[in-house]
Amino acid sequence: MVIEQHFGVLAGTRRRRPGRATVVLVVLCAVAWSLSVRYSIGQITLSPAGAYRGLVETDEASAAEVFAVLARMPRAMMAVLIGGGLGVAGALLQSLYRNPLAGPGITGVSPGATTAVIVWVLYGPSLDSTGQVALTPLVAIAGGAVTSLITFAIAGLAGRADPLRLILFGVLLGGLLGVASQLIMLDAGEDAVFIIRWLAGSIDVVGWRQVRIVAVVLLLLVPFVAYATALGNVLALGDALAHGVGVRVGPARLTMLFTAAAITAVSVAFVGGMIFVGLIAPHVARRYVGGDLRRLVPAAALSGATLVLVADLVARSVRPAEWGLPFPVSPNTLPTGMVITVIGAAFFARVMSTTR
Amino acid sequence: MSDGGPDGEGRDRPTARARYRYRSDDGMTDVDTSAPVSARAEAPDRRPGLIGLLAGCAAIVGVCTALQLMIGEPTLSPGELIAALGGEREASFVVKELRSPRIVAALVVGATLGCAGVLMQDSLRNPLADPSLLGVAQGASLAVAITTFYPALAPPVPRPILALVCGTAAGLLVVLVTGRLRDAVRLLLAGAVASSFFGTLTALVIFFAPSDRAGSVAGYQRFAIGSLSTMEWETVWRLALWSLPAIPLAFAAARVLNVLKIGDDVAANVGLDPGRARIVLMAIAMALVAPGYAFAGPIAFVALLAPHITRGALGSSDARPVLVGAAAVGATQMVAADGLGRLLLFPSEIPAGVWTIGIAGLPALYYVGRVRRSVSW
Repeated sequence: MVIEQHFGVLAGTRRRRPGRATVVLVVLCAVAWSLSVRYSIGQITLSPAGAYRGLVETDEASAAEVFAVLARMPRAMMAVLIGGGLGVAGALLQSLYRNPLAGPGITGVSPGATTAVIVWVLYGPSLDSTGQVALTPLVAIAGGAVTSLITFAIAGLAGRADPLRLILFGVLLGGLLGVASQLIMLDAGEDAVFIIRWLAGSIDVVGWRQVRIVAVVLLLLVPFVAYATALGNVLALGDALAHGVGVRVGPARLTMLFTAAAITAVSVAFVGGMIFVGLIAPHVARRYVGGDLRRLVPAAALSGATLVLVADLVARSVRPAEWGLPFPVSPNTLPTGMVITVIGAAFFARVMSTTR
Repeated sequence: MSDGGPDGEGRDRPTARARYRYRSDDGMTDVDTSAPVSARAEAPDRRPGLIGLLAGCAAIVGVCTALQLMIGEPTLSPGELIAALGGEREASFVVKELRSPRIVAALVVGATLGCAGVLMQDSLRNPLADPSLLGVAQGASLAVAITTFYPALAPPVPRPILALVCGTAAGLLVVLVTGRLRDAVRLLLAGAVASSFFGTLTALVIFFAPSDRAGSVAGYQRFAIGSLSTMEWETVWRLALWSLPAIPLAFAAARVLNVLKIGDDVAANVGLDPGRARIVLMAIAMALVAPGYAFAGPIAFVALLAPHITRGALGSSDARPVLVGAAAVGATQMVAADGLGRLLLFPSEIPAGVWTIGIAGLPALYYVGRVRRSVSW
């Protein structure tokens, strides 16, 4: 059974794992490595030494080095933040759904947020850019929360808000919202191309302002994550046992769902569809630290950050204009989200075919 | 995946509904053939039956068609409509060339979707099998996006064939990856991942579209929702020519479906290779839906709901009457969705694809949630 295999710690079948310290070290190394490589690749290619000078010893650096590093910094920070956030959201959701194949992207949480943002961008009041940047994550959170609430309510109406019904209605609602946002985009005209680009998931449009907002909101959500982590560990014991130790199962599920939805919403507010991170990162992390959320959540955050950094690296290294295609190609980099989707789909296929 | 709920959801209940129950445990039988006979004897059967269902569908289609033909610019009275259908009046052109094609298109698309839904649900033995939930629609849309944005790259094959190839590839990918096909949640998740994968590829195509094709984005988006508003007779003929050959095939496959539904073991015992049969059946289903996806866009949920409605109305899951009924129900849903989209906010028009969500999607959502009580996944 899938559950026992992936929540081995809780089912009592402990897998042999490398020591925790080793894992943390390896993941941190991976983050550092990808950060450093990230700084050296781009329109201006820097040597690692040059990247170091631009980042740390700015007095001795050339203007190009400083400029390149400054331009690349917010992007890298954003990659770390949203990768970490989506990893955490995915870990919480997979625990909530008791299904290692679910994630924020395919269960309605992130479609809710993106639909809200599309409506906001097209029909919201026209604000100055500061207000726009500050309010977009809140709109996304509202969208994610409303979608979660609807999912929960329908599941309750159809019987009981158990993990299976939550997945089912989440996926169907996500499909409905996808069509709804396409309908909304019919009126968008010129903006449609921009929205499609945003939905594809690109980090290259963000600056420090967006990074700050996302960082602040994610920081505010940390206590909720801690609470949801504790709840999730109890719920993983089974509804009856959780009830027995005094946890109200329904509200606890709703809390976890809301927390995961809020994190997902903030993460997708500026960079669009990176949602597969929430599927892959917890999965990879679980292999090494097991199913206990206290360890899984931080590990998923780290692996999510690594994943987005690496995917962004790949995306920036691919130059479609140099492939000699028989037509002009306008933007010369891939959106990062597409790289993640391709990685994610392959990964999902592999997991799916090994857990039958 | 059965969570063994304490409320005894999987327990047998002596209703006629039990006749088309799906089970996910590997029991010998899937369709409970013992229950319905006695159940029907006990309870008075209030189901409409095939004739009733067809009559109901015909009535709805008739009303929708009449309204569609009459209302518009100019709006005709019934008498004027008849005159226009027969004669050479001015309105004749409007009725015959502008308003009629989309009704025929809706009928064809809906009927093929309904049949395809039966084929997929019965051959996979999964109540949630639906071409738009399995990534087939998104695969077909990718093909259409490629032909729209890169006319130079598009191979010189007709659009339905390309949609058929891409859609079939997507569907087969999902089916192969899923493995345990009867686990509805697994199939649903795999389909959702495939949908977003193909959606991303489509976005990639739009993303890197040559700048001289950027004007096609709005047109493609209208297509991607599923709309019949631009149907002309020429398109309708092509649609019908491509999809009609698959309908006899679907009916020819009904017997195989009935055998397959009993279970793979039984099917093998009576000399049917379940794996090969499933592939053939899926291929027929794809051939049914591909022309619709190629010309009218990815219409969602009709194929999911029509078979369920039909089985409920017939009180039987015998594939032969269910195929007939599902074709009728699917056609009715499409005609109604198209009519609603055109007439509800009259001067402006809402694509039919949106209304199929209202007419088929939301009921399907509710129905699937309810049916979870009698279906163990």
